[in-house]
Amino acid sequence: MNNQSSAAQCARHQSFWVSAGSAGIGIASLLLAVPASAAYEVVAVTNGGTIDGVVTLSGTPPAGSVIKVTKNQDFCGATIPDPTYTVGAGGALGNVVVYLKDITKGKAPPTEPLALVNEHCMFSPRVQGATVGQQVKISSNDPVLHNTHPQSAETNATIYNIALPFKGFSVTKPLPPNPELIKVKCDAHEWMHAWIMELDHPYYATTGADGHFTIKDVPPGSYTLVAWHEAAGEKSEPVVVAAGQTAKSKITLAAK
Amino acid sequence: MTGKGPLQVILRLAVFAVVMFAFVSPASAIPAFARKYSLRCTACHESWPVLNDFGRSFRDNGYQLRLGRDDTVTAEPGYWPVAVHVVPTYQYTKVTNQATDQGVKSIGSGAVADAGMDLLMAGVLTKNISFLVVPTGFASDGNVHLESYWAYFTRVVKDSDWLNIRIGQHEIDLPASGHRPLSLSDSYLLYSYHPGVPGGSNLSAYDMGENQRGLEFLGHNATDLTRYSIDVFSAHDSLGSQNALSSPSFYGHFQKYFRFKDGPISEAEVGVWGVQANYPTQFLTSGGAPIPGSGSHLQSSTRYGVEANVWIGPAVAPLHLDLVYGHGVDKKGLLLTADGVTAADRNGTWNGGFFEAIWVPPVDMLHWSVFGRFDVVRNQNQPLLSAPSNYNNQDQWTLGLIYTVAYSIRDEVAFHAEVSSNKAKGIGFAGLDQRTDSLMLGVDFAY
Amino acid sequence: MEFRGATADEGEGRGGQACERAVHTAPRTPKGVIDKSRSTASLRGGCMFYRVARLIPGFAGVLLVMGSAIAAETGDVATGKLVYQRYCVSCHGEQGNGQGEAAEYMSIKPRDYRQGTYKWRSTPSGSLPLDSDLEHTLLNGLHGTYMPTWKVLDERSRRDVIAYIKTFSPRFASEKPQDPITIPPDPGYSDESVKRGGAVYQKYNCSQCHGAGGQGDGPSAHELKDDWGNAIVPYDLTKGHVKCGDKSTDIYRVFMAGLSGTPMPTFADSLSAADAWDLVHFIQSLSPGYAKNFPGTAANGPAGGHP
Repeated sequence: MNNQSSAAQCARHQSFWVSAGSAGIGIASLLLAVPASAAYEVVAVTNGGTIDGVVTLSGTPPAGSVIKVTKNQDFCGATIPDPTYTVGAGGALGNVVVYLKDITKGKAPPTEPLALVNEHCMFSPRVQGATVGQQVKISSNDPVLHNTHPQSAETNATIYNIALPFKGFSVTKPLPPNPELIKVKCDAHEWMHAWIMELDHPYYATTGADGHFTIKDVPPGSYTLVAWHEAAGEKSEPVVVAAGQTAKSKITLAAK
Repeated sequence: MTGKGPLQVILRLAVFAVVMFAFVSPASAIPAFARKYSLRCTACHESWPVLNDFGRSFRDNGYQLRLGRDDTVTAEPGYWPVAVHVVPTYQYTKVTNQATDQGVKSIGSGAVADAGMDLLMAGVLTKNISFLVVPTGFASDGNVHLESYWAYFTRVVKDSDWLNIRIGQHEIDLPASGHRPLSLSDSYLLYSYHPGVPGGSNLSAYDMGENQRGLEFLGHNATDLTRYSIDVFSAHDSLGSQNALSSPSFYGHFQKYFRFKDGPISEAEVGVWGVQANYPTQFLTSGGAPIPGSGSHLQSSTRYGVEANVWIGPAVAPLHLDLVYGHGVDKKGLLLTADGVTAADRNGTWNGGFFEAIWVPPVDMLHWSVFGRFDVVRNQNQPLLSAPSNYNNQDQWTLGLIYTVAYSIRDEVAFHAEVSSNKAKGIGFAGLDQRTDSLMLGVDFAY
Repeated sequence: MEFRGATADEGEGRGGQACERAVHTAPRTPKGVIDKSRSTASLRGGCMFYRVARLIPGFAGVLLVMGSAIAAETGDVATGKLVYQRYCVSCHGEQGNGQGEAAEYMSIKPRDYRQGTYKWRSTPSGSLPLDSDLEHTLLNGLHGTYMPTWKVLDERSRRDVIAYIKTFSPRFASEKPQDPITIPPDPGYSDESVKRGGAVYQKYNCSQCHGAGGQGDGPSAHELKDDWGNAIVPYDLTKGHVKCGDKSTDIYRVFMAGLSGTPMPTFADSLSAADAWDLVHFIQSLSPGYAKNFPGTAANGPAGGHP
């Protein structure tokens, strides 16, 4: 709820004669309503910098972890390698979303839809960033019933739940209009998970298998860079971006 | 008020129609249902124990919510259809112009009343067959009797709610339930009043508020906006009769409800009701006592009238006003003069009624109820020509406040504070008026 | 069970919580706990009005009686709260979190209103429900659960309690329900349609959860959870009496709108209306005595729907 809707709720309360009490609630809500982060403003970025970095993992992730397939083994196989920790040479960590925090103006968000593919009884990609309301093309390459069921990671509340009943089916749906971390599951195959970090700006990237990420066209300034991993958690680092320059970043997350 | 046992007791009770309760009238409000359906008392009771629309519908449907989990097979295995209701009270009563051997006196007395207990056993036996059994009493006098026992067959014809049949000892479908009053210290005069002969007695002990043994036919529509009840019974404590066939009595009640989508009134109701309770006036006796089944020469106590209810404000927290009027006729054959043999000069006729207001203040959690009632009886034809025309005219008022500490899905606890006053013309010492005032403070709990 | 009027502290606690709800600013209320941290000092100050009002319930009450009874078109939140407290609170809880005193004894849990997630909707998957959807559930109950029909309540009480229930989720203040899905007329139950529906059942892999015979015993039937983490089982389609309604349109709606908060997805993007109707008829045919229960369909020809 933002300022506006708090006020709406306040007005609604005041319109009833429950007593001075509801007016009190209304006034309190007016005074205390915390403004949501200011809306992102699209501006032309002419001399932006680049953030180029690597995310590595310290510590040892669980070794040789596999997902035991409990249904549709004829198609999905008996086991699937657990993709939670995708660790490359030198501890390079993949599937980490790296994004800028509290950036209020900058480049235009992407217009093309994200892809979320159900393939070999897994979601692909496992992790990705998105801007609010971005479209997602959800598709299945599997001859079994999948369902793509994004939920708010915070509340578990269903965003929607789409059936993908057969191979080759695809549908494009928007993400919700507010930024939040989204957990995607397939109820039919309980091991299938994906994550979408939905932000109100387009300054994010996902690390590849080499742990590498690049964020381009960043307006010069000082920012906080956040790296988020589904299991290793979150870490923030300050970063200073100079006009036309590339800022290097190295973030280390600890295995849990 | 109960009248049973020796003839004399009945006769005396009949003459003095106002009886202050030694222990309160059992109220058929049943926490076992709250437990079974996980609903609080407030779901069915406007203010415990007065029913609201949802409660009336639930009762008329044979204690079924019709969700596929009503009967014993589908209910939780732990569900046991038993509840207990007890009302410990302190009551102070003051009677003026009481005749005593020492002359006319005013007598006041106060004590924690000898409370009784209701054991309320009710439920659904199988789809569309429900039951209620209520042993009550358990007081220090050791008396226990069955207040109610009936089986109720709902939707007798296909899926229609227009015919449901109840058999057994049951409450008569009165304009306002005599068993569910908010007041604990007095009763509706209209239901229990009989015209009297000074020093005489009355062979009819008919009390509309008492449960009766017989057969009830009840119908209502899906949204409970129209109801009827037709009852055939043998009036309780009818001396010398033993069943409905030897001294049949009849009661009928028709109601129409109205709902308003807008405006200050949320709901209204009008209804008509009438009863003819027949009592034998001649019996064979054994040792002076009437022999059951030997009664003959039926004479009637007749009552009929109209009612109107209105619910002002939200239905969920209403100001509920209830006006009931009735006209009563007791045949002169029922009314004996002081010699106990000679009948009165003419039929006793009278008019009576009550106006009741129940307010559930619309405050958080609906824990409060305020109520008041004014009862009135005016005699029209005194049975004895020589009696003063206003003999035994009565005025009674009651004011009460209820605070419900808890009404959960398991139990109910409420504090009651109540004052009431009754004034009866000419029934005191030497034809003086008699006035009875009472103050009652009590706790009503059920689980 | 809640004991009333015991201490002043209790009264303050309640007032404070009511105020918390009014100023809750999170887009979606966090699952589970109530966020006490929002009860700041100045908030309590604001709620002083509330407590003062409680001291003069009579006065406030008279105002409410007059005010709410005149309110007409839209539900009255203040009266709706009283309706909720009278009828709903024992299961759905004072905070609307589905954790009333009776909830722990129920295998199918009462709705948690804070997310705005409802199974019975005429709107697409993920959308808020329409008021008329909420009223549908009030009118019909949910068969086989503890949710009874509230048909006997007056229309105003229903309208008011719907308005109040919506205040538990901030989504209703910031989002609009999407347009309801379109349900074309039932072409009618017939053996041919049932046969085609059987093929649709296979093609769309309904058996993944509901099982080859529709008994809710498919390979994915066992680890399912709802949004609240409660175990949930696919409906046994052979039991008859579907929780969300028995009409053919009710079954059609479930395919197309899904059951939000549960694993049951929407097939609106993949299933044609004709196939959906055949599937409805196939599912109806799984219920023993279906034709007997709905004699106006199969027996009387394919002409048109049933109640």
